[in-house]
Amino acid sequence: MALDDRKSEFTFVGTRPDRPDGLDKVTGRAKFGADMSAPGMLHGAILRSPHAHARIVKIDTSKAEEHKDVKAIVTRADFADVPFKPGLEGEFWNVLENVMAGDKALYDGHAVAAVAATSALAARDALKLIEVEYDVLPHVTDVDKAMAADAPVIREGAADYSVPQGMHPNVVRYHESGHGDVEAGFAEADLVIEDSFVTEATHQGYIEPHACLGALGSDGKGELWCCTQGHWIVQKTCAALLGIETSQLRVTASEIGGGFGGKTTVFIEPVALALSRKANRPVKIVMSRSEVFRATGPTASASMDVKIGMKKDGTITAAQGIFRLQGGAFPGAPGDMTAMCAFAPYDLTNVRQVGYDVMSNRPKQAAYRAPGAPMGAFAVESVLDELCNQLDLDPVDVRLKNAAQEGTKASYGPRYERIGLVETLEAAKAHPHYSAPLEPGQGRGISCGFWFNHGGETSVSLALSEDGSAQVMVGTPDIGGSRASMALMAAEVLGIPYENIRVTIADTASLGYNDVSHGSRVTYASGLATIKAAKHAVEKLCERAAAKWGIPVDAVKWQDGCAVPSGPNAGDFDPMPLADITADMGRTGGPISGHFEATPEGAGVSFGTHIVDAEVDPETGKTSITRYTVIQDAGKAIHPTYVEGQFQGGAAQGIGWALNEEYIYGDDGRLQNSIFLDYRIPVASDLPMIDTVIVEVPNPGHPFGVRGVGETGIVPPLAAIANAVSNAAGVRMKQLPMSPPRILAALKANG
Amino acid sequence: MVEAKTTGEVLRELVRAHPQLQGPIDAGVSIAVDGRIIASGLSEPIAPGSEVYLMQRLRGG
Amino acid sequence: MSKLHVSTTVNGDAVEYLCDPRETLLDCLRDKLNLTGAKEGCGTGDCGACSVTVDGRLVCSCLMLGAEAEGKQIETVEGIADGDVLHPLQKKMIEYAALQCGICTPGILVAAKSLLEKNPNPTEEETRYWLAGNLCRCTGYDKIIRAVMDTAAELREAS
Repeated sequence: MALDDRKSEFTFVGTRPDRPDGLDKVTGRAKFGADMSAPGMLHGAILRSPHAHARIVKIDTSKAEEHKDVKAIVTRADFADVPFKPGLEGEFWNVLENVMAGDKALYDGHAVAAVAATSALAARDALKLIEVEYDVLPHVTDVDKAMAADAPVIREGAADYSVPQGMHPNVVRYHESGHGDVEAGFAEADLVIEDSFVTEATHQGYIEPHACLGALGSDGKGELWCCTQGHWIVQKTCAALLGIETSQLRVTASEIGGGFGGKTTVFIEPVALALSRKANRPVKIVMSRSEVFRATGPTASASMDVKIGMKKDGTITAAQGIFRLQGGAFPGAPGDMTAMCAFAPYDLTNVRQVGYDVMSNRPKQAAYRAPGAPMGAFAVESVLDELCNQLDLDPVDVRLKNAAQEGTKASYGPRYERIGLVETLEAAKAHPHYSAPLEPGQGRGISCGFWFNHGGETSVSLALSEDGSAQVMVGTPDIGGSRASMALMAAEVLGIPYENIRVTIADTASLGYNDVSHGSRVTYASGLATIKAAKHAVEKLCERAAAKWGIPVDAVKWQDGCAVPSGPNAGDFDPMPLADITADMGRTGGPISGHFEATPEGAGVSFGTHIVDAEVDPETGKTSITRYTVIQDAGKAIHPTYVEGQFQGGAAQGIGWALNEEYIYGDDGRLQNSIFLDYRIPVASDLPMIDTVIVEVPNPGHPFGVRGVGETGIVPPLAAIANAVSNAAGVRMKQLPMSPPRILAALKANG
Repeated sequence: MVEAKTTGEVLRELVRAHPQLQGPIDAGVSIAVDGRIIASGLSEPIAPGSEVYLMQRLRGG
Repeated sequence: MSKLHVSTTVNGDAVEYLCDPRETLLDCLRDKLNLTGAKEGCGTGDCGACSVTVDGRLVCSCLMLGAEAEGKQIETVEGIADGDVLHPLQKKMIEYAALQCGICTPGILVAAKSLLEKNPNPTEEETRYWLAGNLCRCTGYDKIIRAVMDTAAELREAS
């Protein structure tokens, strides 16, 4: 896409106004997923497998059907017959199988039947009346064990074309890439370190459980309200799973109480619609927290081997990584992304990376903020830190020495355009945090991180009102203040105040397809589309002004919210403000709107560098984070306060992943910690203030230079904290989370 | 060696020359043209002398 | 099971509802009284999204039965603003961008207001420990803590 309209001086962009939905959110008025109800509404509840792996012999719903308050019961037979295909090609089948089990229950918590009743309590009571006969099968939940020759097979035929022959059927996708000759590179090194690392699965931990309200008639027409990161994917998927036409289902996105990748697919929405179709009444389903942990998508767990060679001066001579990711009972674990991101910050002559996507008896993984990248960075940056320690080199200097920059051939193949890694490292080196003295018992860690960022299908409309205000309709749910960013970008182009613009997240009936709010794409892609839609409206405003003045349209230009003659030869007219043009637009040609839709292909990659100080208590093994600094390239920060918020939030989630959070499975394959008391995410008293530095190296693929900022912030923390803890404890930590028992065990093993 | 003026043509010509690439391309690929990653678009122009790189289609969170 | 009749006061208004003995105060606020500001994030008292005050005491409304509200004074997020005038905490939360998704915001506001009523001059550590029962997954708490402490300073100056 040609970008002939780049801008670097701004009036509105870069300011920090109040968010437009602020009032609703501080008064309790904002409507989230569970806050909606409808006349005649029923409540749905879902029966879930207590077994990690079992054949479903029989489901007897007769007793539940006799319950006076029960209006509908559904099992797999009530959904469409979606064809099975291998790998991610058959994603509709994978999702259907996940939202309602077929022949087998594949993990603890897998849905097997659902009930709609006149109250939530009655629906839960009725679940107890459904009798399911299971034939329990052997199960596996660990990634390395799932790849072993004797592992139980989750499903034959799930592997796609990429998997080399001879691998266990649980290996369903394989990735290999790189360049140069790693063996020759290792031979040139003064020191080679090879080590193995393990990370546990973690959950996105959004505070709002999944919730929806669906109504579907026997005529195939439906309405759905739900909390989601993308209502078009919900529309498309539900339609496929229920065998109805996509356009007949209108989906409205509620306010969303966090997603972080976990709300990019469906879980309960097709079930509510199937129940509604059968009962012919609206059905609401709200998940419990325990259901969220057991049956929605956590991230993948990983087992990794990394080998890096370095010269005494810090030059990396070769790097190799093998990344095995377990993503539950379906294809999709991002082993490919882990592999491609792992070495991306560095300019390497010899690099090779291998990624495995492995199935096990766990819930189907979902994306979690830069999916796959944090675990790879943990392994790679830990080995780099150890090389720096053993060669007595400064960790920032070594990273600067090897840093990728414009023109570098990336570890995953292409050459980089303009990128900002070096700038983040230089900012780290100059930051007072990096040179601040450490107390006894403290250690400092740093890490770089990389994420691709994504464009995606995007459609935005903008309409002007008679009074000169503007409404913008975007299709990407606002998770972190994006309505403010859209309004700022529209204000910048139209030249009218931020407050005069109302941004709405339109429903699926109002715009063409919009990809999900994921991949750090919203400010980039919906922002680009908002800019282009506003420019489209400005063209029409100039046409109207030209007609009024009786001069050619190319003799009019748009400046500070007014049509003005483009030069002395165009004529002598006073500037005509936007509101003067819209005031009589009904009589000068009708409504003035702007529209843009495309798949913008200029999402720039992004890099960050984090500095962390950690203190380890040798008595208890407890780690405290005493200081944290995030430095990241935002390209151009549209609303800097919300950019800081993304940096801080990513760091906090990374701290949880590094120190506390993990899925714990018993020998019976059941999840042991399915409430927030046992799956402990960071609370306010666990964290220090999180300092931020916004680096701005404009992305050449966006008119204002925007890079996505949502995801990169979670890539460096695992490694940076592991390096800080390892340096504080004097022993290399190779397994996450670094919970107190693990740290005590490591200290003990080290004597 | 294939000749193409757009990203879509690259994929079409590649499959014509190397039918075994149909699987990976159906499973999803992104194309980098001079470092710019084209996630899915088939009409992105490719100028003469551009460096073109095929990679697995990227997914986000 | 027969339902229980409950008379109680919410944000100064006398209200009545019929509830199942198993329903929580949170269920009753949301489903019987249409006060959906308090959120259910966990149902186990771990996340604080359902925070309300009962006779001035901060509680998780998911851990209290609806039937126990009989004769109590309950305050929810919907009662924090005075008509069209926002409470200083509400203004500061917006000004500091101390919310991203906003699902934890009602609970944070109720809890922070309760803190400032008890302790008008909290240290950062006191603020962090008081709010340790309110989970936020978006912000890393930085801007929330700053907003609460700045509100405390402003209220001290005003009084």
